[in-house]
Amino acid sequence: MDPNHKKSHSLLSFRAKIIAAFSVFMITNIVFGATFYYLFHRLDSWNSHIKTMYTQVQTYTKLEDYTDNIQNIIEELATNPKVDRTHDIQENISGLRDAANEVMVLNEEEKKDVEQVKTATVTFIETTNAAIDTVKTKGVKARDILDTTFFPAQDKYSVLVRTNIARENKEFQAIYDGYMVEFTKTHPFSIALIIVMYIVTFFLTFFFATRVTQPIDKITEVIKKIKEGDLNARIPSEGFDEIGQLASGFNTMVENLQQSYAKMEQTVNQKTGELEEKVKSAELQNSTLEETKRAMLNLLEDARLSEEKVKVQAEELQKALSETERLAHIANQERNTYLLLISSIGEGVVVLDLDKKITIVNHVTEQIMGYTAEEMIGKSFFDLFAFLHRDKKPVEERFWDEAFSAKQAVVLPSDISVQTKDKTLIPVAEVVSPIVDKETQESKGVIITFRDVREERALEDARISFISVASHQLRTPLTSMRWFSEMLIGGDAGDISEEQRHFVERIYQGTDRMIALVNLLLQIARVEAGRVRIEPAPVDMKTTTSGVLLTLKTMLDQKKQTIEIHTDPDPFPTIPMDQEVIWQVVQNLISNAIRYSPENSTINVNIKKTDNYAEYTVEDHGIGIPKDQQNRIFEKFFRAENALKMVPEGSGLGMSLVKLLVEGWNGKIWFESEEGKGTTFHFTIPLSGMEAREGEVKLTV
Amino acid sequence: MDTTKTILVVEDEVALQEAIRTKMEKEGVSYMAASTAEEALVKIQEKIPDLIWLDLLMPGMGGFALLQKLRDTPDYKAIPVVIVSVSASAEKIRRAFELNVVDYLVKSQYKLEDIVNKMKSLLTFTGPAVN
Repeated sequence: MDPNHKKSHSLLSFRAKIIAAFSVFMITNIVFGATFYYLFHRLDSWNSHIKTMYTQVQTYTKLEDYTDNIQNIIEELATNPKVDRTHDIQENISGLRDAANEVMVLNEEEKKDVEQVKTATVTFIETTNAAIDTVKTKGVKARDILDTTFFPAQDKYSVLVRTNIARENKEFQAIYDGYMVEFTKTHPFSIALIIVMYIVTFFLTFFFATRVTQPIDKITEVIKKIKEGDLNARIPSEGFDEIGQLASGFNTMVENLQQSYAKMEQTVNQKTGELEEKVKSAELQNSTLEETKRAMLNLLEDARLSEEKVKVQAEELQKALSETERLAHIANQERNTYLLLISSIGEGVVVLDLDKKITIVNHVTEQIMGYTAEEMIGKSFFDLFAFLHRDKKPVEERFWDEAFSAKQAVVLPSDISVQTKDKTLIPVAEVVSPIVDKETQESKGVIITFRDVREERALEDARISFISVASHQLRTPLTSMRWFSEMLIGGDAGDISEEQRHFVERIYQGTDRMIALVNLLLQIARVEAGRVRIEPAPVDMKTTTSGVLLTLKTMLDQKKQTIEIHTDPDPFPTIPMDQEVIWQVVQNLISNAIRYSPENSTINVNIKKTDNYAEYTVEDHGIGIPKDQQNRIFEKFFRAENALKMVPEGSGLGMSLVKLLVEGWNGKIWFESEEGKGTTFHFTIPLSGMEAREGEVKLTV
Repeated sequence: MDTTKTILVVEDEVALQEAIRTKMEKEGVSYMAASTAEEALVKIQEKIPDLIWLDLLMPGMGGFALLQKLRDTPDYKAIPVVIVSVSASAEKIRRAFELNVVDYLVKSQYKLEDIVNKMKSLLTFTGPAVN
């Protein structure tokens, strides 16, 4: 609603209401004022009237009092004329006189009475004066005169006064009563009326005031709410008068305000966001600045410290320099000492760097190789030194690689020779050791020591060939002994006694033992001499094991033992192996298991695949190997005590041969054993099998 | 007709010859002996045996050379040969069977009795080697 539309022409106009209320209020005030003024006036007039009356009565009372006093004095004078009461008499007389003058004429009716009193008073005063004179002249005798003149006159005067007093009192009482009547009966009514009017006006005014204040309160409330943020607050409709217009105008304003506010909020938020961003980036910049500042301070500090350090370091450098000189001198001396030592070593020493070039050689090397040191130093090692196997094949460089990679020292195969300057082959025993930096653990090269082993080699060869020849030579007589013993036992030379048979059986057994021993010795000799040819062919482990078991069948049946073979996986893949070699290993292990196990026991053969290996296991429940003798099992001719008792005819060579063979194909052999419980032997074969090898003979003798 | 079988034992160890001869003659087999491969050839030329007992380790030509020679000679090709040797070498065994030996016996694995019995049964079941 357009607030400008309706004007105060409406009867409901608020202004009109206010004016009306105010008018009523004013009228009431005027009426009330007028009434009170009238009443006040009335009161005032009553008041003055009463006051006048009172004064009148007081005056008359004064007359009475003075009269009484005069009487008393005269009385006294009459009795005692000598007393001087002149002063008192004069005082009372003037008093009387004054009082009489003070008597007012209040109305026409009293005029006569007042005149009378005034006259009477004058008379009395004359009488009194006369009395005084009488007393003065007559003294005591005055009494008689006074009794006839003064006292009756005084008596009469007193009565007159008293009568006037009575009359005035009565009038006074009447006025007072009239006053009381007016002010207790008549006027209260009008007072009450006025009061009622006031009350009405009060309520009316109050109402209109509220009509003003209420909306204003509401507005204030709403404003308060709005202040608090509730922009949805509105002033409820107040009608169409100004207040109503104000209210609706206010609402509209709030509405607009709300909208603007919403828009503003949006803008504010947006701006706030932007601002925050700016603040953040500013903060960031600030912190970056701070950091930069800090960094710069640090740098400055560091620079300062560095400067100091540099000074200190310069000093230290000086010291170090002189120290270095001193140490260099010592090092040089030490170097010379080492070179001297190297030169003095009885073996050939060659030091190679990581490029496999010769850096140091000693005198023995010169002697063996036939080159001078100058000819060797700086050259590539493999250009000058050619190493060959017994079979004239060159020794693979990989033997040296392990040493170069700083892993471990390498002992080269025992059959190698080196070609000297004039192409002679000299058998050598050679060890290549890595030179490792103690701190970094890196390889810095290798140091090779080697020596001429011609004599040793020859000795070894002689030994081996001796064993071969001897073994061969032994076999024929052994066969002869065996057969003849057999014939004796068989009775081919005639009957023999039981005792003779027993003796010859001992001989027969003895020859058998020796044959077995000689065969083993021969095989061992061949393997150690490196003369055994390896011809790998695909071998099925299970089949080989079964084959071996066939040859041992008699023993098995005799001891009523069972053997179980398991492979994992099944079927087990074939492995390239030399048939004779694997046969020898398997036969040795299984025949041992049988021999050292009691009757009725079980032997388990397990073949399993592990990583790149096949692991062959022979498990028996036999006498086991005592712990204190386990480390000697692979020694030549070693027999454990318990084994010796159970199988006296054993040679003690089987296990050494097995170890030689297994390690010959880069396998591992080990065992677990507990005395009285049993033994389990394990050996491994790489799944790639045995490597082919040249040789003069096969393993089987 | 002379039904007695003849065996030629080629063995350089005299003691063993003695033992074998004793056994063979007990079995009623005619016995020829040679200590070397050369000697064996001479003996074969004199008389073709029904069976040859051949040792390998001999001085001179050696067992395999003799065997080869026999196989190369048409007249001697069909003579059954049993090798009796100390060696159990698979190499030797293979080579021997390539040269058509009837059997290969390792001395240490057999009692003399058993070898003799084997020879006997072979002699019984083979006809004369002469065509």
